[in-house]
Amino acid sequence: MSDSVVMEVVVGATNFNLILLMTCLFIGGIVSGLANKVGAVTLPEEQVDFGFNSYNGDGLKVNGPVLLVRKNILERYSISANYKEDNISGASVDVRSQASKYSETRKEISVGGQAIIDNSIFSFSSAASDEPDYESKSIGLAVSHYFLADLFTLDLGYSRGWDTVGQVDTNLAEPIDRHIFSIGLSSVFSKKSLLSLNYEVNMEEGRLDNPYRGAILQGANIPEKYPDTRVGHGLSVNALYYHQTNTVSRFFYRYFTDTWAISSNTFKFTYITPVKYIGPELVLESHLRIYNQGAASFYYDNASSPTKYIARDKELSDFNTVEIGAVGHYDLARWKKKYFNQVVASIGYTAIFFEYSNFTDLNKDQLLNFRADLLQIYITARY
Amino acid sequence: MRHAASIITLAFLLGSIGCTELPRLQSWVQPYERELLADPYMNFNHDPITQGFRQHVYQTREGANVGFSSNGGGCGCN
Repeated sequence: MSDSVVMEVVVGATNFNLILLMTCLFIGGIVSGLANKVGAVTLPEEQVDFGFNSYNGDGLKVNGPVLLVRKNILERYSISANYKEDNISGASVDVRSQASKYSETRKEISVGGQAIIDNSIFSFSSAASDEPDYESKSIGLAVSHYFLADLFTLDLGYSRGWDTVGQVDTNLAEPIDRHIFSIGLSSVFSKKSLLSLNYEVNMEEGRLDNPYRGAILQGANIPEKYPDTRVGHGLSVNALYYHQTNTVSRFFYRYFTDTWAISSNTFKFTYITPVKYIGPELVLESHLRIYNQGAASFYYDNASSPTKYIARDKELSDFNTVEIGAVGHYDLARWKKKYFNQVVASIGYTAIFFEYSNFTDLNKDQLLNFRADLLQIYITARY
Repeated sequence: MRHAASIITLAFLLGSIGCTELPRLQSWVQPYERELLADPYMNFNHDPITQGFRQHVYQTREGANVGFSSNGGGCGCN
């Protein structure tokens, strides 16, 4: 059975199951809606965020502004819009070894809407991003259903993506089709804790490699060759625990595996607390994240013999990362005028240490490792 | 690839049980006992700007490509 046929079968099977799930959801929603009339379902907070993001690591610099606006209507509907811009310069190690540095701008716009119907929130989102050699469009549908006196939330989501892969100074324009299904169950575990379990499957088909990058066979450069399809599964658990006034711990774990034989584990611990020396207006959110990954079955640092598929993308290799970071949120109470309930200034710094087990930096003839620095500065106004 | 259909079928069964049986259970945390749970930081998505930026970095620097629940974003793979 070919990959594309298998993909169609899987998509068909998941579509069928999704319809069954939706049916159960709506029947369950009606039943629980009749059984209890608890209507504590709320929309996200109304807010405006404006800020600046920066990434600097492995010879690549990305920076640009970000704007998010969210407004509620009639207490039942919410609309949002998001704009991001990435100004990219330089090139990472696997590209600059075979191509020249460059600079370009990526722009992304997304809009979304939410509506409360009984004990459910129905969501719609759409996003589009554009850069000289890559276009991406997507739509998403989701429903969150609250049941058993709002102790549980069942989340179902589906998104569809259409990308076009190009190459500067050529006519290359090859598509990628993407389907993402997700299901999650959140629960009030105690008076101080919340739990969430989520599963997501991502099915992609199309031009999945990077046209700028090549592989190495017996020391010689050759074009990369990827499978046309990829199915990835992610299972994650989230927990939140409230210790005392404004102090919260969050734990996150995710297991990922896919049809390219990549597997990974992600652990993240976040601790959110007021800074006592300053006062309750300054809240510090610090985190530690550990990620480790096993390589794709067709990844080779330097292949010894020809294979059907071959890749030398460091994102498909064996590697691990350790990340530490902190964001300070300062409540600008004096800025709170009649138009806003709260104005918060935030500044965040994150360092990610990448260490590769089987990816050689050809310029230094040693295994690659580097540090990436992430900086964020933004203002949030809630009204 | 059969895993996708199997896991979603299992999810469907659990969802069916949940939708029909759980409403019969008693609430162990009453609505008036959820003050702490209503704290803004007791929210899995309380900081969309920071989370969105980091997730885009993970999507472009790591092989795991699910579990972010964000759409769009281009390849950024250079």
